[in-house]
Amino acid sequence: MDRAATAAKIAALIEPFNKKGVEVTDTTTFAGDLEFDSLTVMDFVAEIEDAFDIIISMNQQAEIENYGQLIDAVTKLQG
Amino acid sequence: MTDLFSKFDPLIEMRANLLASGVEDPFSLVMERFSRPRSRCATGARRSCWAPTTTWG
Amino acid sequence: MCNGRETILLGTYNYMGMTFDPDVIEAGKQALDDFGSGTTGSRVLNGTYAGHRAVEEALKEFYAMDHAMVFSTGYQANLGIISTIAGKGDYIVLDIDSHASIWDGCKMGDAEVVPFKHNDIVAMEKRLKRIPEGAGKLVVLEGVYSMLGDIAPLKEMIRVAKENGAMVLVDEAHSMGFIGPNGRGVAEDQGVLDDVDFVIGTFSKSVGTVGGFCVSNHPKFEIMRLVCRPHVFTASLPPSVVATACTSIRKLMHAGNKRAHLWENSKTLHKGLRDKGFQLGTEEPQSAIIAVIMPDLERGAAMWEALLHEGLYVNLARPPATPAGMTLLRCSLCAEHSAEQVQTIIGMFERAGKTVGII
Repeated sequence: MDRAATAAKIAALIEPFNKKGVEVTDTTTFAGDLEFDSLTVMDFVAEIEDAFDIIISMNQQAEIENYGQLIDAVTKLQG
Repeated sequence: MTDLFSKFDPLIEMRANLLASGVEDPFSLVMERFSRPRSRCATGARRSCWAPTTTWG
Repeated sequence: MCNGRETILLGTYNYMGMTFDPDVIEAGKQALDDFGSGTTGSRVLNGTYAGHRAVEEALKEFYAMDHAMVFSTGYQANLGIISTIAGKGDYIVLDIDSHASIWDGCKMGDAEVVPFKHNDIVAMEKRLKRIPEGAGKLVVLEGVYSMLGDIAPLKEMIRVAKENGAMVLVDEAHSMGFIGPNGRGVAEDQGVLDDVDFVIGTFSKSVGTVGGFCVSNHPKFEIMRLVCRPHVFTASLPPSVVATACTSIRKLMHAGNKRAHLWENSKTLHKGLRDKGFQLGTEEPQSAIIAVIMPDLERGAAMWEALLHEGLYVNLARPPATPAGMTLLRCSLCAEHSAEQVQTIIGMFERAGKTVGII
C-alpha cells in the first residue's frame, strides 16, 4: 500500500479517537494537539496494528510524535 | 523455539574451557565462616586487635 | 501503632505474617552474630556467603527447580533478567499493566518492546504471530496484578506463547507462599509451572524481608550470574537478610493451614465489602489483594483518611500507577489477621464509606 492509501486508511481509523475534532495534518502531534494519554495511545496503536497487520514496537512509537511520522512509519512497516 | 540463551554461548564456552584447565572459579567463591575481629587485654593492659580473616575452602 | 493510634495494617503485602515469626527472627540474629552486618561486596566477588547459597538452595526446593539466583531486591530481579535475556533483535511481548520493574527492565535492554491489552489472549497471540521469523521472543506476564488483585489466565497464555516459539517469564511476586498447592504461585495453581522458563519473585512480600530472585530450569541459566548487570554491580544482601529469608521460605513450604486461613480472610472481606455496596476490582476474590474502586481521587483520599481515623491502614493508589485512571483503596490481607479483625475491618469500611458518602 502506498503512502496515500495508507494515509487514507489511517485517517478513517483516527476519527473515533479525535474526540475534539481537531484538524489533522502531517504536523499534528498526538500528545500535544490530540491530547492522547497513554491508554488512548495503546488503543489507537492496537487499531493501526490490526488494520495493517504490523507491529509498532514501543521503541518505534518513541520516534513517532506527529501524524506525518506515523503515516511514514506505517508505510515503511508494510514493507 | 529460539533459545534466548544462545547469545551467551561463546561466553559459556570460554568459561567452560577456563574451568577445564583446572583453575578455581574466581567468580563463585563462598565465604563459609568468619573469625571475627577480637580484642583482648595483653600484659600491661595494652589492647591488641586481630584483623578479620576470611576462610573458605 | 501509627500516628499514636492502634492501627490494623491492611496494606502491607506481609501476606503470610512472617515478619515477626520467632524462628525467622532468631535466624537473623544468629547470622548477624556469625557473619556481621553486611557483605560489602558483589555476589561474584566477596559477597557470596554460605547464607546466600543456602537461600538459593531453599528456593530451588520450594519451586522444585534446578537453578535459583538471588538479587538484592525484587525490582532488580526483573530489571536484570529482562534486560539481559532479551537483547538486540529480540522481542519482548508484555501485558500493558505490568509492574514498573518490568517496564524498566524493558527500557534498560535493547529488545523491541511490544505491549498488549491487559490479560487479552487474542491481542497477545496476534502480536506474537507478527514478529519476524527467527527473532527471539520473550513473553512477560504476572501471576497476580497488584492494582486490582486479579490473576492472569496463565494456562492459555503460556500455551499460546509456547505455540509461537516464545520463552515465558512470570512474575509471581504477589502469589508466592499463598496461591497454588505448594504456594509456588498462579502458574502452579493452573498446572503450567513446568512450561515457565523464568519465575521472578521477591522476599519483600510473603517471605517478609527484602530481596528478589529468579528460578529456572534452563540448563544454561547459571551464566546469568556473570552477565546480569543488576546482579554483578551491586552489593549482595546482608547475611541476616538471607538467613531470615531462608528460614521463612522453608517454613512457607509447610504453611498449608496459614494459606487456608488467608483464603478465608480474603473471601470474607471481599463478600463483606460487596454486601456493604462497595465496588471491587474483581467479581470474585482471586488473590489476597482486594481493590476497592473509588469514584474519584478526592473522595478516595477522604476515604483513606477516614479509615486511618478508624484505625485502619490501606494503600491509596491513583493514576498513573493504576489502570484506566482509577483511584483505588487496595487492601492486602495477612494470614495473621483474625476472623474477628476482618469483621472489624468491614465495620470500619462501612462507617468511613457512609461518612464520605460513597455508599
